[in-house]
Amino acid sequence: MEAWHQPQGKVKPLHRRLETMSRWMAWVAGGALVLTACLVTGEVLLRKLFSISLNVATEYSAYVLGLCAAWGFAFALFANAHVRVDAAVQLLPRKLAAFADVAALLSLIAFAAMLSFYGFNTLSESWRMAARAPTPIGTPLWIPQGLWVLGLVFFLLCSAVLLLRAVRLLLQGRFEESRKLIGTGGVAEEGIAEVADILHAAKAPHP
Amino acid sequence: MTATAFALLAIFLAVGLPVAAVLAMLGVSLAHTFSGLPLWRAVGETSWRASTDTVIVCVPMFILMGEVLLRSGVAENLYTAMVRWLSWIPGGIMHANIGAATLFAATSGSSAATAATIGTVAVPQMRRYRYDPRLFLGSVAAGGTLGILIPPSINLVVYGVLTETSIPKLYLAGFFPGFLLAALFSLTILIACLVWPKLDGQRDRFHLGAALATVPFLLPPFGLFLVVVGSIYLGLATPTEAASLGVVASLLLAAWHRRLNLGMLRIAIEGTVRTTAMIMLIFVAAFFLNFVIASTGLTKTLNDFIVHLGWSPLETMCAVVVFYLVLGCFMETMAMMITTIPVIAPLVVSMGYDPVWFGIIVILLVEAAMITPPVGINLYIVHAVSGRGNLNEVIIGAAPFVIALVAMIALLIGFPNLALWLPKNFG
Repeated sequence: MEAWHQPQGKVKPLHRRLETMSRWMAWVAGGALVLTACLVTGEVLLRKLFSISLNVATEYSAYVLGLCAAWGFAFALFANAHVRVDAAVQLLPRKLAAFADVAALLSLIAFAAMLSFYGFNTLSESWRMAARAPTPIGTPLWIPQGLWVLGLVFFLLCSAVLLLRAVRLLLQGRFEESRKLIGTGGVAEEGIAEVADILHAAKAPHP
Repeated sequence: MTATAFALLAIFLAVGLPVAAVLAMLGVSLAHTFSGLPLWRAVGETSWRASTDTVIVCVPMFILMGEVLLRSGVAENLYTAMVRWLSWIPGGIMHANIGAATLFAATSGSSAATAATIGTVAVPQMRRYRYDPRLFLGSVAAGGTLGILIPPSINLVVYGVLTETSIPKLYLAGFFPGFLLAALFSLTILIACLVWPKLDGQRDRFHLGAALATVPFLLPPFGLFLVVVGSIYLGLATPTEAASLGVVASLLLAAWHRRLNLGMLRIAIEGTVRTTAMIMLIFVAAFFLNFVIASTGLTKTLNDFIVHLGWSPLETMCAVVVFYLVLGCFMETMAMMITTIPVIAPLVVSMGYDPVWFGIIVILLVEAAMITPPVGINLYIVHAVSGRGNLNEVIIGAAPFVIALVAMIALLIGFPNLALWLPKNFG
């Protein structure tokens, strides 16, 4: 990666290690999504071809949605993909813009903390009541909710670590790096990041 | 007090706080002001429900399907086919841009992806046949927006969930306006090229044999459309089931074209999770905000306010259209939809408009938002694909298509049955 993220020695800074971890979590959640798609397809085929109704995939797919969301929050955070209306921020001088980024991250932390705290309440309530899903399988709710809360807390942790890193950069007057870390490149960069590999393929010489 | 809250909302958004965080803060402050109860304690429960909504599941599924399809080699073949079929018309390959985008839209749910994919294959042709880059790039940007109107559309799913409208009905309603809009885009190109022949490039003559030879290229997307949208139309599968079938089918298609490998799957998965998380964070916050708004009776306050204005339904609709056209210039489109629809759709419906019909109007407005500066995602995508210097070229080139979109909205307001005939008779 870029040299300045690893200024001294071989030890990766904490936020880089968390980023790698968030990528792994995204793979797990996304992999689960692919498997769920296969599971649902199998169920549909069984139902249509052999009139066998299993009706388990719908419930699992709902949990996988929660997983893709909660375990993806941190991954999207590191990609600076959480939507901000940044048309005005882009016009600010870079110092001010860097401070606006910090304010944005602070508000995100507040939301993440709120989600984690009350999400955990929901989980502990389910645990205490031994709540089960109102479905044929009757999944004990603490299992999917536990995974979900894990993602929320990880999101909170990552945003807090990013904030510390950004504040340190600001104190050292490294505004540009701070912007790179937690800022948005505007709609242009975001959209392009979304389809980066396609654009990359386009730039490659045609055979 | 409500006015203060909304002024704060606007200010927080304008200084670039994340949309999700702003919605959550607004929810907490509204609960604090208007209700004696600590409603924010419910955020755990509302978020869990929003995160496990069995209809929303088809959003990541459709995103994944699009991400896989994008890299499956289908688009290149489609484009070749469209060039052979359409490029004899004045405006030439630009009609192929629209045609390929239309067909690709019928299988993919995303606009930025459609614009990137079509743009990638189209731009070398633009250079080769010396088209005027402005209208050409504009046609790619505009064609890309068809992705969210022609089913399967991710945005229509989100609208359906936010307004509790039937997604099969919305998909039926989007079908005809989608193709009509594609025709309008083509008409725009035709007129522009007849008036200013300089915009056009060199054209090939039509060869029936060459055109027919591309029919096999059209079969995979057609089959996919049949599997995904057909199964929803016929009531054989729920949207989530159809989306799952679509994921599996697009994986098979990619494998057939020898494009399926771990690296490609990894990129597709990362893109899917990133976009899903981005949408879901806003959705979770909006779900909480709506819970607060409903619990405090603010919906009625807002409704009374609008009724108090004494506007006719048509005047209100025009105000809504202008509101979205302006907001769409500044806001990411999915965020715009999730933020505004829960408040605006009930108002519009209370004036006697059909929620299915309004869904299509909203999508058309979102399409306009995608090609209007300064925040029009497709403009930037196409600009990046073109590898040329000036963004203004794309902005100017997309302008005629914005006019076509507004014309389409006017048509739909004048003739609601353009959207509603199918869902009324087959829904």
